[in-house]
Amino acid sequence: MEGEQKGVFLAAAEDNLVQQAQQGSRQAYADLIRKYYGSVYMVCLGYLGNPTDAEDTAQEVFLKGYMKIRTLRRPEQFEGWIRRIAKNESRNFLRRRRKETSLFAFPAEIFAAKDCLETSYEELQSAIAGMPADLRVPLLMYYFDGRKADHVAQALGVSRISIYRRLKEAVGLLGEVLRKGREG
Amino acid sequence: MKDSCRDIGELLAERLLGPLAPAQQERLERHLERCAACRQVARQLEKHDRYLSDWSQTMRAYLSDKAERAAEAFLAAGPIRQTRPLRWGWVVSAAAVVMAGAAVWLMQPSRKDIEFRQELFKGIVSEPAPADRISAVPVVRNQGQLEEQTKIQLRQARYFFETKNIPALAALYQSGTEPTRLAVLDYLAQINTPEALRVLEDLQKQSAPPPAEPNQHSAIVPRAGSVPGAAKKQTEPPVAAVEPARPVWFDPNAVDADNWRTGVLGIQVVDAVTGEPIPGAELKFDAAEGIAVRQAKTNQFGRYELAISSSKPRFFRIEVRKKSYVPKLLMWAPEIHPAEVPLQIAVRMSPAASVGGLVRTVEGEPLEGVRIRLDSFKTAPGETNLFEPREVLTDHDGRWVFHGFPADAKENVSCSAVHPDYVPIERFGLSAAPESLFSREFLIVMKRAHTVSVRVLNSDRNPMEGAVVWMGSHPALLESKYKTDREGICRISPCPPGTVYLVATAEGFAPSMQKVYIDDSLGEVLFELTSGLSADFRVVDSRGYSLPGVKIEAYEWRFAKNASEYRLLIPFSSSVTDVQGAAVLKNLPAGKVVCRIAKSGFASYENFCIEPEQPSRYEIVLLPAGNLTGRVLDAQTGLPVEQFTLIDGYDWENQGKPVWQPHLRKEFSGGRYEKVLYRQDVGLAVRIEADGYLPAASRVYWNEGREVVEDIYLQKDTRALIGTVLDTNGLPVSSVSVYIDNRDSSILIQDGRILMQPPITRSVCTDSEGRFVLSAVQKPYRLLVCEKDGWAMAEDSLFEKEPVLRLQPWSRVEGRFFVQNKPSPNQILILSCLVESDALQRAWSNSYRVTTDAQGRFFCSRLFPGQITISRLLPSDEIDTIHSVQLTKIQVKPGQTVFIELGKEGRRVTGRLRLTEDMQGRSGEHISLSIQASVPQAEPKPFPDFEMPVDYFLMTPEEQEQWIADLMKTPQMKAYYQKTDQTEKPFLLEAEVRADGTFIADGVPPGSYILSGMVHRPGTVRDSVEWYFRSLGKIHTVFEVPPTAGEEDSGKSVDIGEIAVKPLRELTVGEPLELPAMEDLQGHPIFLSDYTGRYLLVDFVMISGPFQHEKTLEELKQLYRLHQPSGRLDVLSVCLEPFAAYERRNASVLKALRHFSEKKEIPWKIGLLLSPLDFDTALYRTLFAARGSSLFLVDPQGRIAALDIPLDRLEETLAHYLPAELGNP
Repeated sequence: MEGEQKGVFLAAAEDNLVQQAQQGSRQAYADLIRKYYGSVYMVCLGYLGNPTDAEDTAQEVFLKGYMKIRTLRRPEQFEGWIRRIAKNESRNFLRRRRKETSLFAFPAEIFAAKDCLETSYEELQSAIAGMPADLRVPLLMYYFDGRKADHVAQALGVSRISIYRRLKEAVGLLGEVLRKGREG
Repeated sequence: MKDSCRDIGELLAERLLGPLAPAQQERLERHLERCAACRQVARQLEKHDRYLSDWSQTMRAYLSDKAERAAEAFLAAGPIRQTRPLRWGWVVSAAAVVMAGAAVWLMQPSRKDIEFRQELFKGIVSEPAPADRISAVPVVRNQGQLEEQTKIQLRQARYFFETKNIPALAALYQSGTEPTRLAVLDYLAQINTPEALRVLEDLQKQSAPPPAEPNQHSAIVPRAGSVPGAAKKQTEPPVAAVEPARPVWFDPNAVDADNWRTGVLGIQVVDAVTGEPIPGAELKFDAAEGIAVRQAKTNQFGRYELAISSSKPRFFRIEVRKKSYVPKLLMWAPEIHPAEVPLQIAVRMSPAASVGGLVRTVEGEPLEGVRIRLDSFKTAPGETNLFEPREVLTDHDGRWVFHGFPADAKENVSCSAVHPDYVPIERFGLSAAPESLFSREFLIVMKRAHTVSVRVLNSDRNPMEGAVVWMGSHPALLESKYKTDREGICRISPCPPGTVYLVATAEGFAPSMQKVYIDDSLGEVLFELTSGLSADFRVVDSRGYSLPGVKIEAYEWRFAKNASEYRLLIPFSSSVTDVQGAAVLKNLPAGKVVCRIAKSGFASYENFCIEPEQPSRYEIVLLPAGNLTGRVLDAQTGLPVEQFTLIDGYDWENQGKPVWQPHLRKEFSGGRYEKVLYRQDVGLAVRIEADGYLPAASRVYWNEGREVVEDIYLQKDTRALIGTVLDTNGLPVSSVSVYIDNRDSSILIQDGRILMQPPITRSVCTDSEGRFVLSAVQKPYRLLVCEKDGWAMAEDSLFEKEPVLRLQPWSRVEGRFFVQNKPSPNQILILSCLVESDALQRAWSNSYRVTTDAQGRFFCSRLFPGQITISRLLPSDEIDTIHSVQLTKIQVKPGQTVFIELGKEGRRVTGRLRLTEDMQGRSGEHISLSIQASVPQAEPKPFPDFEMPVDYFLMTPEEQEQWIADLMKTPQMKAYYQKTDQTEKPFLLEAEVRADGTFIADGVPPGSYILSGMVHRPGTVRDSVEWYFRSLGKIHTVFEVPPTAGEEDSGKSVDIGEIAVKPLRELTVGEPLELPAMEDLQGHPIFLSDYTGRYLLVDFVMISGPFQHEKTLEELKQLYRLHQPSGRLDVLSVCLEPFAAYERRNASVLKALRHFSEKKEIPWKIGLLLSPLDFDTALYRTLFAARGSSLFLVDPQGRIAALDIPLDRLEETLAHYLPAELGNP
């Protein structure tokens, strides 16, 4: 999978993208957007719960990222850095809106994209919607990141152990919610 | 144990996050076989795990489309202004462009360039004042010339940066082009000394950096080649079509570069004294990975550039050698010097000088064939001078010379002297002052040693080959190890006489320890090893499940340790738990054994004590290691503090106060800290230190198996002070170290020099204007400077009022030492003086050690003014004591040189102490004997009046302590104690006592004297409680030294004959108790006869003794209520409270005591002593051996029935006496 076996050369090329963007290269920054849009979007979705809000916020995040990229001292930390911006922006968004997260929903398009999977995306969606954001965000990011807890920990600025616990709790809760759903 | 569905739910969740341990997997499967509900959940979870994975792929596909659109939208957007980074970041990156440009250009050197570079550096190297030269650079006219000039200036700037030539950088800024100016500012910021920062500020004030959009200069440029076409604009040099001829020093691996991304490390070798570059220095590299070159030489500018692929290699070292310089070793390795390898390494080599010294025996004979080794020392973190050859031998005259010693050495050097038959008389290592080494007069005195033969047998009394025998002065300091031969014997030589500990160990056997005294009479030491004892363990987790794979190791027994950090490895038993969580430790010795119990992911027990003689199974619960985490925030703004250092603190004994471990520090970034609570039996706290802030600490946490969060708020340090060091003429002094001493640090001063142990003690260095910056120092602190020309000391309060340290000249003592009117050579004298500090309540002691020369002369050049005590070191046979006798005390003023002749005037006094058998030791070291001039003693001054708070005896010990501390600060108390000090005897001399009780004291002038002293219990540690309170005898006698009749008479000694020793004893059970004179709180006298016919419990109490101890008081009251009605028992408290004894008439003390007695409802009498207890009495000795508070039981006849009864045995003791009495009326 791309990104998983990030070799030395790839890493160097990525650092170069960041450096070029720091010099003002928009093309390079556009490449960075292509690369990291997904994970930024997932952070926003995790916190905001609403696909439209997530999309707006992701755009805001990348814009802010471009404006501030020169303050980034270590190019190799771009990914963690932009995800942290995403986290902060999402929280700011919630604060501005002065209300709790809207009920969690996947983007409608993905239901259409997958037709063979009975109705369980909806089931999954409602199970995830029932979780507190603290657990939901790591869970979504974990799966989206190709099961790399380290990445999630770095992006959320919490310890590896703590993220592991939260993931365990999230998965456990998922199981419980599903079981109750069935019993009920 | 049956698993609940809830537990299984957790396991299911864990399985999703990674594979389970085999045992857990088995548990899970067993449960799922039985439980249909859980099977259903498991299936659902697996399904949803699949869905989530699957869903994430769908999301990725969906989002890649979105990403593309977002990127396009971004490209299509109008102008977006990028925020400039912090000013410094911007300057650095702008400068980096320029530097990187230069780098790329230099990578393709044309012949012209190279010649040009040589030309350029030649000029710089030969001209020490480049500032003039820079201003002479002609004014440029066109663009080409401008670029050329920029290049020259940039390299000049670089050179000045490497040589830290701040004035030259400042001058270059004045004449420089724009890129040069930026580079200069950047370099100044990087040099980061107070001087550099001041210059930087000045330059910025002069002309602010141009407000150009950094885009135009472009920012960080990657190494050419990695991104084709990027930022070529200003970096292209004139293209050289033909490969230029390379000069001799050019190495294909060596290129100029600026950062790690280009993977090049710049090394500059300079003379430490002159700062001149050293060409042709041999460099030897070694690294764990990533270097192609192993050996190289510096070029004519003393430079070399090495390509290396990682800035944090696991291990990297450089050895630098050049003839007539001291070789140097620089090392980066995780344990030794964990810092990142810097981009620029400046190696300062010290010119080599010859040093030497001589070795004599105690008898004064030169000693040949002694191997002398000087210990190379660290010159900076990770940097060491190498001394080659490692050892030199003394010649026929006992002299040795070593040629590779740093000529600029200022600190003392430790050294060792090894001879097969002799050992140095100094036990604690030798330390040589540089001047004595340079003058080749450094003297080492050695004495004859012994050989110890040890035989190790097994339980069948067969010799054991390969057993290991350890030897040391203390079980915790087993310094050397030896192996037995085929006969089971090892011979250890040379051994100094005295007490040592021997430990014999062998695999499969329990270790065995012996304490022996080495002298001529010591025969073969025999060990018989047995297989020893064993102990069973079972380890479970918090839910009671067995924990396999837990390592249990016995590592300490009678202080002997099996821990790598103690350099020793006694192969004690270790074991790992099996599937049932069980383990057995074998081959354990008898007695308390300390174990470590640890498993990765769990908090360990570090001090788990077992006693193998009492067979029992140890059940241990291990909890998962929790986390201590949180944010580090600025207390004012609430914003995270990006960079900080975390220091561990351990609370070993649950006191709520951590002991900080300044050597365990870790750098953090990102505003968040995290620490694993990895020990179960030790509390952990963290202290955060950050630049510009005062340190702050967390609470102490004990592991509970979960995460604890504490945010730490840092207060800005507004007290950052710029101090100045001025010399005795009031002029600033550059390059001196200012040492900061506070509660965590320890400063040792020896011979007027500071022996520092970084990183425990911090120091800062003054710049060329004598200034230094002091920030983030926690109060209270003291600053200390010890330099060649003088010393200075300031406490925080004083320094903050006026941040100036003025050097005071050293005081000096010059003298001659006589014995029986003849100059005495080779005597070791110790001159010691103190500087006290109120704030830290600690004193620095500076002890200066000198050896008298052939004419008996000595000289000390670095002493603090004030009172100086001069003592003579005696050859000592005890390992753990330095035995010295005090000769005299003198007063020295600042800058004064005092001339003194010791022992010239007086005569030798000899005599003999009549020692009983138990008072005889192997030497006379347990006897302290001194001679004082007999002068009429002044009437003791009355104790000053004071007002004691009425609730004093109800206060907590801390409050009481505070009250006393405050009282002691009052002028009356100060005056009282000062006066007491001043009434000291004018003449005081310690006598040298031998094992048979004979004693000698030299230099006693005619007059009348008191000979007084104590015979302590042989073998007790000097100055310990045992030493004082378990002493065996007291000496007190008066004698005369008659005036000398003539010249020849003055050489004769005065024999005062045999002196009796008054035995000191403690009370024994059965003897009648003699109560000292006392009164009760109402002023009525108390006699023991008042209690005749009853048992009397006498409760001797100190100020913070059982009176404070609620439990004792309650217990006594209870017993009193139980037995008093029968008339068989009474209780009497005797107040040993010093205030009460001295100041019985002080109404406030009496009032406070009465108040206490009423509040606590004490039904029995409280007695107050009419005068302090006499030191010689058996009662005093018994009480003080018991540390003050003690309970005695006196029988109805007034005889002592029980002494020093522990509280938990009190009831038992009373039950023993009272019912028996009742049963036989």
